[in-house]
Amino acid sequence: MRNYSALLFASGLAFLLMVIAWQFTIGGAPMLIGNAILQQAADELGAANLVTSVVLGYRGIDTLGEIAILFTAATATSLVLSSISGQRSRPAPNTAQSGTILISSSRLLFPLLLTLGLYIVLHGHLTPGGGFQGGVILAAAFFLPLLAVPGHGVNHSGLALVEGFSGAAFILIGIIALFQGNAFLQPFMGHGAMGSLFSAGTLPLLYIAVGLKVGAELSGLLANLAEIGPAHPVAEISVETQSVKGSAHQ
Amino acid sequence: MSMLDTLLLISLLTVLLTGLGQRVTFIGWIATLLLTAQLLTLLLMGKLGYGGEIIDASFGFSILGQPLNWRYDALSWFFALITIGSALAGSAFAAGAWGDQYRKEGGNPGLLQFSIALNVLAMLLLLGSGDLLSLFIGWELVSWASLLLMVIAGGRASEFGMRYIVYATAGAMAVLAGLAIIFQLTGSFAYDDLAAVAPALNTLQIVTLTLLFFFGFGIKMGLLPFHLWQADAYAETPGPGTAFLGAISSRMGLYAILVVIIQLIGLVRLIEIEIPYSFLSLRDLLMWVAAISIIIPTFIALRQSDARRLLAWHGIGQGGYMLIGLLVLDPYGSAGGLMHVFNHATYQAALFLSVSAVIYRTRTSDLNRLGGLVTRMPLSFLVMLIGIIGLAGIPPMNGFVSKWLVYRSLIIEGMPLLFVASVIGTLGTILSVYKLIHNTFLGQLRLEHEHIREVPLSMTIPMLVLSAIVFITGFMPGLVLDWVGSAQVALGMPQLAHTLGGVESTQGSLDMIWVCSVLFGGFAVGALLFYSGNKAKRVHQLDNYAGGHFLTADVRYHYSDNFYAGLMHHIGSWYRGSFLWLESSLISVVSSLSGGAQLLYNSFHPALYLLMAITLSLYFFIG
Amino acid sequence: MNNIAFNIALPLLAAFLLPVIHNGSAKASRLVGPFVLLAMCWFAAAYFIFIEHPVALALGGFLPPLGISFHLDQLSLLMAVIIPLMLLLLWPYTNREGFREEALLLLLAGASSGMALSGDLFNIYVFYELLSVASFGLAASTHNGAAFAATFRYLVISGLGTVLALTGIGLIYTQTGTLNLAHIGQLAAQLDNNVGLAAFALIVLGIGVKAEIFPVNGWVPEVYATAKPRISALLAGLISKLAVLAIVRLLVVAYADTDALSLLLVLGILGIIWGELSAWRAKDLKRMFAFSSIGQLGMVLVAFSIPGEAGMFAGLAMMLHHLLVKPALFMLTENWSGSISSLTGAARQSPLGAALFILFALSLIGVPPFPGFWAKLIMVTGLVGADDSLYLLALGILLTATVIEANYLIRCAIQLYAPADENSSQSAKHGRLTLSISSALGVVLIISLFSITPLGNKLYQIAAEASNRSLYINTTLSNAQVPALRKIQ
Repeated sequence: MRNYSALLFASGLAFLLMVIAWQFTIGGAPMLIGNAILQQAADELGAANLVTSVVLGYRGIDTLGEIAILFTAATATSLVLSSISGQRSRPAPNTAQSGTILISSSRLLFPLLLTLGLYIVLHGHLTPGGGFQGGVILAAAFFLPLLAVPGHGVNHSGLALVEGFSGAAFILIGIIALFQGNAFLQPFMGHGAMGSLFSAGTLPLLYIAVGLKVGAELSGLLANLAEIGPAHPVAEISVETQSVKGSAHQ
Repeated sequence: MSMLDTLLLISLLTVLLTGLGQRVTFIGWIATLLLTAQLLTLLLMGKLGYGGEIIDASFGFSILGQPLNWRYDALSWFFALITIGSALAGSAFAAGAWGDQYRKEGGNPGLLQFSIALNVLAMLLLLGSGDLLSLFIGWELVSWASLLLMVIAGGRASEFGMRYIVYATAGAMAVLAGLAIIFQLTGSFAYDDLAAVAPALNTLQIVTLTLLFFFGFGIKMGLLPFHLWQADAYAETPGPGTAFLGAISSRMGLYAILVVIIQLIGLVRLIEIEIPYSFLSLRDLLMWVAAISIIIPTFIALRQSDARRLLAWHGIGQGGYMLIGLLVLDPYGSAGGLMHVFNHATYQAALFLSVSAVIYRTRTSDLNRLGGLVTRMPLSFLVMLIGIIGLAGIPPMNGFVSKWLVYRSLIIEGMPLLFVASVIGTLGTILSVYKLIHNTFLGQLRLEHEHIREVPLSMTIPMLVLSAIVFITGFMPGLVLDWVGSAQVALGMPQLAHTLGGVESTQGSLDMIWVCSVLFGGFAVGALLFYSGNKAKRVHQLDNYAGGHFLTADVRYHYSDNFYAGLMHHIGSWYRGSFLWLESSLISVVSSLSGGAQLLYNSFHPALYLLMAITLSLYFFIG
Repeated sequence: MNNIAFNIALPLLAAFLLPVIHNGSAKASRLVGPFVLLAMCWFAAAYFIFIEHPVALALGGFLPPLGISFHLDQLSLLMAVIIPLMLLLLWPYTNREGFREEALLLLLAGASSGMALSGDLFNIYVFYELLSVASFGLAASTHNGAAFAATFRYLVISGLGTVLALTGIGLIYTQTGTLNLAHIGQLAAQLDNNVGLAAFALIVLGIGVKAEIFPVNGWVPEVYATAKPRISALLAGLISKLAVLAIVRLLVVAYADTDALSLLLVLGILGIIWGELSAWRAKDLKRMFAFSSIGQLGMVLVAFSIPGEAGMFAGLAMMLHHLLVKPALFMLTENWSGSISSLTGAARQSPLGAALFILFALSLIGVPPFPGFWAKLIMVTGLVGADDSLYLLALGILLTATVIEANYLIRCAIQLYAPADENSSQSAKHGRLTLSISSALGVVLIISLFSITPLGNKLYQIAAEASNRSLYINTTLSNAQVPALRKIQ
């Protein structure tokens, strides 16, 4: 019954949204801001990648919000997991399960992924990509050993350090602009020659901060989840923790 | 600083001192003293009662661009006199022995005194309101303050208090809606602006405003069909509190109706508005509500077996007389209505105090468990006797005068059906007050009450003072009619020509001094005959026989159960409890709606509602 | 050096660094949060007092509408002051659980400030998302199965809501080609069609999940019943208001004279009915307050749907009053958590708590002379002034709902003072911190009672400014403050 009604309303919604979509003409939407940015961005920011000018320049504060969302999600997850994982001992590294091929290919892939991630982060202002995309690849690089060898140790405090300081760096760059008498998050340090690695002022720095933060956060998050082990229903876990407590009392 | 400031300050001081001195054993006496001070201050403002200048409070606020001010005119003074007077009677009654016993039983007499003082302050503020906003504030203060008085007994009293506050909030909300409409029409809350705009309002506006205010203020008076809360809530209040509430609390509703409907909106407009498909005008409708509020509660009172409930139900019925008199809008009716406020307060307080005295000694107010107390508590008996004569409206007590005025005006203005309705009410009153005094004081003394004594002086004095007022103002109604006349002038009504003994007019005169002289002359003749003839012999109650048998102490010959069995045989089937049924079905409707509303939250995943809502609202905008 | 951007930057910075600081010194990390919140208070208050406003502040040095701008008028600055104050009040001072909750609270503070200040629709959306995610974590921080289940429902519906809101924002962008609120306001004529209104509906119901708008508030009772009282207080008191304000901003600049008002009105009316009716039969205090806050938010919505200044005035009055009262009431549920019948006689164990309960209940009902009465009076006169039968219906429902509200609140109050019986809970005593938080709010209530005249005037001024659409547009598009963009060689 409730599934059917959900289906009914969902299809109604889809229909109505299609009615709305029907009214659009392709390419007919006004591009007030879009066009203005297209014309000015190169001059104002000097970044070859226009998307980066928008993400870190015109809408820099949005990006700050977005990395904060990621951080919040990671913190919230670890807050929830802390009640569960706190009670469990970390499983010892278990190489026997994984086999040689998996282990050696993960070792092989690690430097490649690392390089690729860093490359994408560093060239964020020049080519498609940037801190978010590069950060995810970095996280993948660090997560790979964990997949290959369950129980592989992760340096959480190191990750936290990277995470904290890279996030802080983003904000501090914004605040430095403020202290120079500019607006918060206003780019500075000059444009440089467009298209070169050292161009577009502080944008590459911001992207590095984003990349490191995203990378560290995702690795930490995935590691946290991995350490919980195979999915346990929450109820079962809480029963278990109770029994652990109970036995401690005895 | 004006006298009004002083009065309100003393009242505030009373509240503060009684509030802070909860643990002080003689707090009752402090409260009594301070209430006396309030009464004296009010008497110093006594010129008002004789048509003196309006006294303004020197403080005032302006909130959201609306000035709030307070002032006293003859009408406020008249009501304030009754308020403080009945509070003083209750407070003095509770201050001495009664309070000590109350404390022993786990009650807190300090809290009781505090509640009374708080109620007085709220009422004084309400009576002094100089605009609709301060009127509403005062109104709400009075409502919530009386809730405090009603619930301090705990237990069932809380339930009844709860019921009261639901009714009271509903009324307040109606008033608030009325205020908002007025604000929309006039742009202010000032009395004058409303009075200026009222003649220009259209019929719909007048009807809406009248019904909203009549509903809102009428709830406090217990007008039908919103009467259910009152008797229970009053009766469960600790004794002296009941006396105070019963004497004055519901009259605040009358005061507000007087000011807003009769004075500001104008009764004349209501007479002009005909109700479609009937012979009635809007005013007639209100009068019939009042008339029904006389009859039904009075006959409900007849069935009560608890002395306090019996009296409380009468309080509602007597309110109907006041309203009906005031709605007649001639000198007789309005004077009768206003005077009845005073008279009712005096005898009702006396009656409640006398019942409290009985409870103090016997621990019960169940009319089926009392009897024959006249030999043990003669003073209380006397107070109750005077009180019920007043309540029933029989000469020579003051209740007669005001009821006579109301009847007279109904006859003069040609409203015979309403007159008959009022008389039916009086009939019921006489029957039930006889039941009250018979079952309490007359007949056979119960064994367990053999050793009862009269209540201490601290309790008898307030009772006796009240009874004295009942008699004196019945004997010389001119004393009260002076104040009533000034109040009529303040309301913009024609004044009633009166003398010390009563009314002197071409349309009907009454001289109570003469009536009383004849009455007491008759008594004197009877007494003369009685005492000059054979000497009476005093015998014990059981030195007697009934049905051919001699009586012993274990034989009950005093029948109080199923009182008026014969009458009830005829009218008993009319008691259907329809209003109770209505109320309980309303509660079950709310309850099932509430359950349904909760069910809605629990039965589906919330996301489904989001989906439904967005689909529907998109459909609303696109479809 | 004063810049309102610190109100976003500082809490986020502190939250990012909190794990690091915690690893260094746990004691120091406990000081960070309160210190940052105090600083936020100072920045916002200083702006409110010393710097001329309304003004728009361009972020990143890009003039609106190209860049993102903050719109600083009295309303947004007032909220920017209230947010850190509220968090300071509800800060987990005695919490020894760790830094994560504190980090989430700081993120919440930053996100809330962003929502209150931002003048860009998408930016508001980003901060709204941040706020949502932080609130999920906080709601689940009770660490029990019921809280997890409730939070999961919350998460699902909230996620669905944000998708809808994003769709709405997208629709607005297709119609106007801009995201800046002031710029949207300038192009509002292009939104007065069914696509524009559909966008508004999507945004209202999407963001309305946090604003407890009926019927997208199904998460409310369970989350409030299972979360810590502090968190419920925060969600019901503060967060819901920010979501409402975001909707109201959009309403004022772009949809002031359209059918959008009737959508809000109808949703508000339904919210009042459902909330208050459900609260009437609620079994425990937390759920009762949760339902009652749904009803109250319905009232706020109805108030805001009154056209013109009157609506803004009434809405702000109702909103600020609820913001003050509901957190205090939620705090009192701390040790009054079981069923209502177990509260019999609780007043003897916690006399101050019971007295505060009565104080707040009376104000919530709207008994004069408490501030709640004035808010209700403003709203009632506004409803009559709107002069439309639907608004009169809303008036009737509002007044009836007040009766129901009085019924259940006073029933509880009387229960608190009844003599204890066998059902009574043995430990109904409040902690000192709880009592001082509630008392602090009570003191604010009493102070505002005595300064109602200046408060009313100030609020009217704020409302007049906030409901002035052309002022909003001009402030951002003509007078945006940007430090001279340094021309770089």
